[in-house]
Amino acid sequence: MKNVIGNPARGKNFFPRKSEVAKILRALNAGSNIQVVAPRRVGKTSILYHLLEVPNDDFIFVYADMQSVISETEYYKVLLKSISKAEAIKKERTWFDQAKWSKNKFLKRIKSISILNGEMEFTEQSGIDYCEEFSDFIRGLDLGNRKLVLLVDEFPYAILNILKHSKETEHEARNLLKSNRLIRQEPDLNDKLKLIYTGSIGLNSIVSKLDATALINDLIALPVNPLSKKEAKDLVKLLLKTDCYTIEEIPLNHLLDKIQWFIPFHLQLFINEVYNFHETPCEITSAMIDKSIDALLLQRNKPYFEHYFSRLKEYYKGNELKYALEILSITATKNKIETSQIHDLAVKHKVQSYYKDIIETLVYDGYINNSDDEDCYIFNSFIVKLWWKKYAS
Amino acid sequence: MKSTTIYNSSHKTKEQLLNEFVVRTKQFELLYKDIRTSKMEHPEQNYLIIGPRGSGKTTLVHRLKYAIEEDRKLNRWLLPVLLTEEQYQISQLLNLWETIADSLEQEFGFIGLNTAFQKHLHEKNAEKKCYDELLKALQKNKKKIVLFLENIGDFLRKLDDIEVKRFREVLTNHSEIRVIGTSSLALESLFDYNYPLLEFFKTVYLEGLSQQEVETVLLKLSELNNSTEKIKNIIEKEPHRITILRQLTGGVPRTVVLLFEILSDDKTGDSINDLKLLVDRVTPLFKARMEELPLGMQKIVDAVAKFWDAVSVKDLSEKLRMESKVVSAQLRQLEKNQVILKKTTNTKNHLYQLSERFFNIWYLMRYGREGDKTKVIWLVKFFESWYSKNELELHVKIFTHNLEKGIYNHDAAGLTGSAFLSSGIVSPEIKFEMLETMKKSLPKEISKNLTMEEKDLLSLFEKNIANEKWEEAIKIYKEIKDPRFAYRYLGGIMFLRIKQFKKGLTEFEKALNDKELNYWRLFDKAIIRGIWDCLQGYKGRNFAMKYFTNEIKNDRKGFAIVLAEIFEKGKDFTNAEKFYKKALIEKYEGSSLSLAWIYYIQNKNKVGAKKLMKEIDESENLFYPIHYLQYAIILVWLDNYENSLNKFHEYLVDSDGVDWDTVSVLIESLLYKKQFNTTLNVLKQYGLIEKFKPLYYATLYHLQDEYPNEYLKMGDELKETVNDILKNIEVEYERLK
Repeated sequence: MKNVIGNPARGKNFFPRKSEVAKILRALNAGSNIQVVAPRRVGKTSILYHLLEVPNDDFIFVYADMQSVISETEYYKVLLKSISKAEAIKKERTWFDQAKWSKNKFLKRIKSISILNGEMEFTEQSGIDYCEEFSDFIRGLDLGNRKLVLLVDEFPYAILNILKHSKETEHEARNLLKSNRLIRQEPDLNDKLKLIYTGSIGLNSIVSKLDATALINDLIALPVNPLSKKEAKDLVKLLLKTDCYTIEEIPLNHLLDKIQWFIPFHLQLFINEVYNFHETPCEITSAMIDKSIDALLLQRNKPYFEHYFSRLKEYYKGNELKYALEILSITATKNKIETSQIHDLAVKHKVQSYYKDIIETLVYDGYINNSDDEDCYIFNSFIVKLWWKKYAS
Repeated sequence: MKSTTIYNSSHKTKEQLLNEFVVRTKQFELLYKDIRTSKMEHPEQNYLIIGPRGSGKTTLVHRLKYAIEEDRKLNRWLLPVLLTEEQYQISQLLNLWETIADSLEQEFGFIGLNTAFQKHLHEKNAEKKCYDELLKALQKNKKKIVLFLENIGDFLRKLDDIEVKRFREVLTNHSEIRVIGTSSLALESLFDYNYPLLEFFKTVYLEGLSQQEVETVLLKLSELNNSTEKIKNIIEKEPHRITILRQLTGGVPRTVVLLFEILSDDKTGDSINDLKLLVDRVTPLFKARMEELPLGMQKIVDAVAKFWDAVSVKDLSEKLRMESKVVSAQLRQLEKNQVILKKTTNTKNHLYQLSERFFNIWYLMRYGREGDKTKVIWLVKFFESWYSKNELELHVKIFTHNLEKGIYNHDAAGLTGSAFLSSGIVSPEIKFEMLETMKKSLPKEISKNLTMEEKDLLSLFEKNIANEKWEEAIKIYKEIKDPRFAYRYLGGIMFLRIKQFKKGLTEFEKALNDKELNYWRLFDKAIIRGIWDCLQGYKGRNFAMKYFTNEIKNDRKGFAIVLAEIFEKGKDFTNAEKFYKKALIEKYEGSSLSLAWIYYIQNKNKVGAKKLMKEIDESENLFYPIHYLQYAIILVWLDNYENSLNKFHEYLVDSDGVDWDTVSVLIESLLYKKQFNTTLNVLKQYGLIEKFKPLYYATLYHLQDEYPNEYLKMGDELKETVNDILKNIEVEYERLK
């Protein structure tokens, strides 16, 4: 298993997340549309890819990345293209054959859509409702007993992009949410299609800002948890073994005690630092672990954590941003923050009416938690806490 | 190793590069192993190679490119596409696809790809459409790409937010292209983006070379230069030099090689010229980076760069005349931007330097003023730590020799020469010889700003004056830009001694007009005396006399007393008295005493002398120690013995060296006043008997009643002298009555 940093881990490089995968399949079997909820870098996209790559008797998975989508039209074009390109569908029969066979309505309006090498190409033509085209296309698909599951990655980015780039901004963003809900609730589509949304930023907070929570409340929210201690140990050992490093139980425990929050990304970064310092073959000691963890906070690793800071600047402006930054700075420097202080700071920054949303986002995005003590928030990750103290406080 | 290619790996031939690739092998293995074992069925790990300029990033990516090209298993399906630093025309994601398409057409025979692109260039979504064309072409040919993207930061900063997301999307979802980017640590503010793209890259960091790696690099270099024995010698016998080289360069390979060449074997100046070319080459980039910084930070960078060595906040704030908290805040920001590196100390006062040593060199070369020491301070430090004093001096001599023979490159000589001139350990003599040769051998536009440091010139000048090497002294004197008055004075003396009176006069006059003289009046008499000597030498005594009289008439201070002294020396006491009186009117220090002394010598006007002595006592400080003795002698003449002896006591206690001749005069004057017991007391009290034996026995002669046996002890050889003294006593006693 290679130590993959940043890119989703795929194929042999994917560390099995059995319980997380089972959770998703269970929800799909129960007929739900899903929102996969987890902070960044926990491994959501890797799990989606795993679903995509492992054959399943009940579902055909298709992945679509929405992070550079800037309009509702483009959103559906991307979905259509992703389906047309999907190996899983091609394997059955070409979508074109299927569509033809089912006398698909979609084909009747195919003028604006050309087919090249079995894939869809769109020519520029106005007046076409691509959401409708998409619905018609799905209706015409025959996948036997199986259901099509669209893995819509970076969905929140699409909404943000529309808000930034569209002339009608909120209106068009809301339209995208509406049309998605429509598709999910359409009875004849519901039998054939399920949607799993996810993204590296929180969907709920964006939707709540648009005052459109009702448009996503049919989604089941499934959290992706960090690794358990045992999983974390297995992952570290596996990764080290690939490059001829070994580690005994005591230093391994020492590592996990330090890292505290076992998201694969932080473990992978740590291992990358081990590679930077030590030639193989080599046995990892506690001292090496300390050195490598210190190195994680060096300037050169800054980009890996920078998003914790920059993302907030993207979500929030003015007082909201100041509030969020102060909350995190206090939590980093004092190791915790009391709920009473959280409220008091909201008054200071004049954000009383929506500070709870902000805190919720910080929790959702993996900065802080109050799982051990309801009245007190702490950083999830020891490393992020140190990073915040060093670079962002 | 041809020096032109040391600094630019992309100009090396494949064979050269493979042969010279001796460090960064661990990083190469790591990356190559990953490339070799990846089938690229899924999007693969992307890499970011980070290291300061010259740390070997370009060499490493070229090495990887060649490895892929030579690997039969890989080269069937994997194409290394290398986009170099120069390809700055890439300003949009679309341009990147276009450049890749160009490369595929030209290097890998993907005919028609550019034409396919042309169709879409003016369409909406041109980027996505062109990318799809690229993808199709690759899939059709069953090829994948490793894209080596040099200076990826520069590329990324040109993309807008959607493009960055799109690039990330491509890297996440498509397995046809994997990226290995490079970025230099300092000044690449990669972190300005709000988009999580860089975290998709695994970093490979090129740290400074270890001692052993530096040795490996130098050995390889020596192989190419046929100097293996020499390098082996250094490694075995003088490993500390390697340590120094490593410390001074931060272990950055290019700087190591560059400096090593300059330090060890640059007979012709080629290495210095290479450095200059390199500096020119990075200028657009570094300059842009500097200009991106706010003005306040630019000032801090400027100051830190000019210190060269790590500097404290205190020194910086003094230099910049800024509050230390302001300086600290700016430094923190610059540290975050990786421009500045903090060196932690045991105290609270940390030290700061520019994190990239080569950037520092660039800055000094670019912004240091011509002829200013700061411009070459880095080179000076290198030379001084690399060589012992003797070695460096030998090196300078060889440089001078090569310059004279026309072997050393003129453009390079300016810089090398400036460094040698600024070195504190090369002797001024050697520097001067070099400077002379440089002035002779180099074109004026290069040599005009070359100058030795003033302290060197002055010390050399003084040495030559002391040794009366006038010709040498004149040459050096010409180099001193604006000598302060003491050196002007020496300049005057020098011209006087070689009888260039007119020039001497000019120097003395300049010395006298130097405003600083007001703070150091002791010197002006000597200068004015110099003026007299020059005038006299130039146009005779009468002319000098006229000149002086005129100056005195014009109330030019100091001329009267000097003229008086000249007359006094010539025993023309009448004129001496006349001009001392003038000096007294202008209240020239010491003029009262001098006038009283003239009265004493002539034994006249005791009343006037007493008045003068009273004035001195009340107001005037005695400047020179010798004045104490003169004062004491005059008091003896005026029969004021007690005060006289007090003054003599003061003189002996305070004075550093004793003027025994004048002390002798004082003792004689006591004898002339027949103060025999007093004299004996003085001689005994201050242990002067041995020193002034004749005076002692002359004294005892008159005290034979009290000390009958002592006088008899006098040796025969003293008899004559003592008799002369005894005669004098009688004569003088009568005269002074």
